Amino acid sequence: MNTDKYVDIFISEAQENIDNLNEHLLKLEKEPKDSSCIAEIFRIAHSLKGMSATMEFNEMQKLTHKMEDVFSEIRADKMQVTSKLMDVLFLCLDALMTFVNNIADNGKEGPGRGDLIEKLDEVLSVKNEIKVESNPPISLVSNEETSINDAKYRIDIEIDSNCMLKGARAFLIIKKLKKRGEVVNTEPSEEDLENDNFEHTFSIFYKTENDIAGIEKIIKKVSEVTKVEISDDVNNKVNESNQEVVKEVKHDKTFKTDRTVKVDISKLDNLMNMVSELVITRNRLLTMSNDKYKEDRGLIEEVEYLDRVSQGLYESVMNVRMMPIQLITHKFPRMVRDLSRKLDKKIEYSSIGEDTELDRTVLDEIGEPIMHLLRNSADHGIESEEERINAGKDPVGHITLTAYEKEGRVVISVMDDGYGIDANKVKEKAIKKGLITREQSEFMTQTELIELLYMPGFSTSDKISEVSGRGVGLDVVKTKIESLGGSIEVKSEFGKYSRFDIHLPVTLAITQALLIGVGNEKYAVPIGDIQTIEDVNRADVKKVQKRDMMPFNDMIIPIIWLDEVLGIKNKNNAENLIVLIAKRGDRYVGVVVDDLLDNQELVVKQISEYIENTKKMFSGATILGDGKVALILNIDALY
Amino acid sequence: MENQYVVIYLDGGLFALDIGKVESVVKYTKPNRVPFAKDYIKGLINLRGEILPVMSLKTRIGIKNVDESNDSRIIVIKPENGEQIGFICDKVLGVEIIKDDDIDKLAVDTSNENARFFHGIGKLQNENLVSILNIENIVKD
Repeated sequence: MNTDKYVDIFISEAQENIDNLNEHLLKLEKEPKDSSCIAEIFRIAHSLKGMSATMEFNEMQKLTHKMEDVFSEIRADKMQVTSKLMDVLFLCLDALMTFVNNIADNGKEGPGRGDLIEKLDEVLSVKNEIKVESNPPISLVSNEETSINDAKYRIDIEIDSNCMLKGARAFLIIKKLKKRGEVVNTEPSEEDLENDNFEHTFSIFYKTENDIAGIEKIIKKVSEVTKVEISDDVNNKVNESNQEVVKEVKHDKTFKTDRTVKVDISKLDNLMNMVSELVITRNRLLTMSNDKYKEDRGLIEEVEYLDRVSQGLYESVMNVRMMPIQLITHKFPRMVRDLSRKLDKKIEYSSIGEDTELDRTVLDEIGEPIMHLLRNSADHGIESEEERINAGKDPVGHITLTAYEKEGRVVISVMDDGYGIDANKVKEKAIKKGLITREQSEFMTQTELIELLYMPGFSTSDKISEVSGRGVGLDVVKTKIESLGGSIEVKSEFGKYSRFDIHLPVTLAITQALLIGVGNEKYAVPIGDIQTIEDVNRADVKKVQKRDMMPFNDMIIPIIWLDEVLGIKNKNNAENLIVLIAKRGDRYVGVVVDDLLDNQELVVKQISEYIENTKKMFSGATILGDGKVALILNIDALY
Repeated sequence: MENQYVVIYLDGGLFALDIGKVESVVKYTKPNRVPFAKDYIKGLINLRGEILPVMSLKTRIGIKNVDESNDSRIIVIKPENGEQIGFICDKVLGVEIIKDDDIDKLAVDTSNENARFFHGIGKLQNENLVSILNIENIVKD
């Protein structure tokens, strides 16, 4: 059977199913008796088995078949859900994922997992022999009151294993039977039969006044039916088979009913590029029409209309690129669960605001840094159960991920109620490593001391842990976040909690920026980075402990002379200074510029790899309305 | 075997660039300075909507006189494993064929650190000599 064109569909559906199964298994672990959860788990495993069989991925089919057997036992209440069992099941899930990844890579599923099948066999043979309760069936497909015991016949039908449309055959048979009697029940359910959710045998419990031999002939006439067995014995296996009839109350979730379309990422990228070009051209037109063609009302009007339309288009496209962070955070619960088992600590993970949206490109890159922070929290943040009890804390540690939008930026926070960061220990380590001198450390605030953690090669952990490597590696996290135009802050109270706040720009590509002049050079500053702009008299700038400071609101804040920082010679000696006020965390800083030029929407372009940007002072470059290039300043890197 | 080269002037001297790595030649526009870049990186220019970094070839290979002239051009180079970059030159003469046989490879001279920027000396059809530039080394750190 030529299955090539279905491989893509298979891969994407298999991935969805495996993710789904992951979620449900986690749920099951917390609530082992949740019967609708168990039913869903069984259904998904059954689907996976069917899919892999159709595509002739035999190893995958074998494994899912075994898993299905286990789930069947759980569903029949014959097996206990224990953490150990869960461990094995999660391993199986991982193996399934590996199969699918292999298939995506080279079309073959790769080696089989006989080891896992053995483990499952073990589990199946040692299962607790709980007596099967002979309760009446949980629910029935039909709304009729009749119970199985009214049926006169039990018809077992087998369909040719090569049959492509088993569901259609089954449906046909049932239809014919319904004309001549009453179909009391079917196994599996009629819905499952119609949707092809069965192997190639099924049973019908049937009541009829017609000659049963005639009925048998009719069934046999349906093509691709290989075997028909009719028995009067209805009590045989009835109780057990009853237990297995669980109606899916919700409509089958195989196909999403919300109206979405899957789109190739490259098509979106193309669209994005086109819109970016449009914005550049629009800017140029705006500039030109305001300069040379001011008198031409007609032209000005058209250009303004173009401005509005392209703005609308831009916003729509940007919206398309926005995805909820749930896409990356959904795998975190499982990760933390595995970590807590591995580290033998009790950790509970929760998240808020998973529907917060980020640009797709940012989303792609932010997953790893966040995972690193989570691993750190689990490994070095949360203490062991014993330590926590001794410290009078809740024996279960908590790691929380919060995401929300604030002032045009998205904030993702990873917080743990663990050990906290000992600023003193960090300070001592830094001095010992020669990163700072003791004198320098005297002037540093708690926050600044903790931020020493970001220096490369730093680690306060005394032993290398398998889970998160050399204790920290926060410098890598920081670098990655900054390369996305974001920033990271840490807050901690020793003994109580640690919290890492990641700030990210909502979109990467197009920013509102303020054009400023320094000397005779132009630079762009993203509006989101500027709190306010102040006029300050040069005389009000005073030196405090060798730093230039200025008054702002009721505070004194440090000043940065942009011309000095950028190495620009023309010194501006004006009395009045134009100062941009920027904020990082709760710290303010004033940036002195020479001119305020314009407010523009800019397309952010990458600075070439040939330009050393080690100080990260520039977050990109842009093309201005007059066609010239300007660098976009990263205020954060200036102080 | 022979190859085509773009022949340029740098302060009166003739130099050649492998045409396989030359994308285009554009008019000279003053680049936007990038603070703290290397001394031979003059800055960035707008090349049809893309940001192109530009370097002064003269500064890079050690020629002192770095004034730009009216005939200055920027040659857009695409190295093998890197992004595009522009070379500023004083004048572009044209495309010439140089036979492999007519190229003298330079003897390895470890004392001159600029030697790595050259493949050798080539002879043009009109008997003039040109220095053939090693683009990959010029572009690499």
